[in-house]
Amino acid sequence: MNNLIIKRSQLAEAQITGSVAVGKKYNFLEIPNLSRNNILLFGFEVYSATQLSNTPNGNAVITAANIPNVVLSFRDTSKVEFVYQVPTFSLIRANVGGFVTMITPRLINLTDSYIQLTAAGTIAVDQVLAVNLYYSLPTE
Amino acid sequence: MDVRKVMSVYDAKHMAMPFGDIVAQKYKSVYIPFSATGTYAPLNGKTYYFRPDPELDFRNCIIKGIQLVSIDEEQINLGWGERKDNLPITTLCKGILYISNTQREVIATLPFHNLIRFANSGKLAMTYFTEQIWQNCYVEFADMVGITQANGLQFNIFYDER
Repeated sequence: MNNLIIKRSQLAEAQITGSVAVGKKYNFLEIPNLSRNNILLFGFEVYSATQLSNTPNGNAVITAANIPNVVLSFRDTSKVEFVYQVPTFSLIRANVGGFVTMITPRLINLTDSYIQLTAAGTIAVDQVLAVNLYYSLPTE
Repeated sequence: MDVRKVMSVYDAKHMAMPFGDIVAQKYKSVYIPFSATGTYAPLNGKTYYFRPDPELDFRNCIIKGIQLVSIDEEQINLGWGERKDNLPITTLCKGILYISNTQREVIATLPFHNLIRFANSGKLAMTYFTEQIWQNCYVEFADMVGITQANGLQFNIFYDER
């Protein structure tokens, strides 16, 4: 059984902004060095507050109890959702035997990607879903 | 695309490998001990750099895996000639390891929880870092509650010599 090798990684955050609403799309925050839309995403994993309490930006991470209320979608540079409404629970490495989710390498448009809530639970405004993106550059 | 073709791309580009395979030729422990005052005194959001270690620079090695040792795996470490207590996972979940290259560009952001084998069903965080400068790599804690000068961090680095 294969597991992912980390070549480059960047922690990304999708933040609950404005109000907590079921179905609303909450986009990922911009990361300048990933904004050129030229990174090849080949794996990713999600963290709850149990794995990472706060992000480097100081934002509180959504708790483990609320993770089953969150689904994740990634869009590529053609606005195609190549990952669509995936339950985030099974993207947490500790929940799936230590395996990282791998995909066919694909160019990602991070700020066009988003999360949605299937239930509000006790999720609060300004909390974030923390996602580690494992990528390589097209030239590598 | 055929899944077998995808996996051949993964193999060729060092993106995946069997987790039970031999990871690297060598491994060594490196440490960050905390102190009461000075550069390694606990402070929220402060960056703690590793000591220079040319053996772990890109010119001399490829880093193939990184493990952070929690108190569940080893209670005390002997970094820099001092006895320091390793930390529990509940405290380590507040920390992040940054791998930087020659230009101090961060090439990998690794929350500590990723690196603890004990917390990930024994799976090592496998890497393929080819441009790191070890003394440019650092750790950071969002919250240092529970960390004192009695504590230290112990990392096991798995690497191939170039």
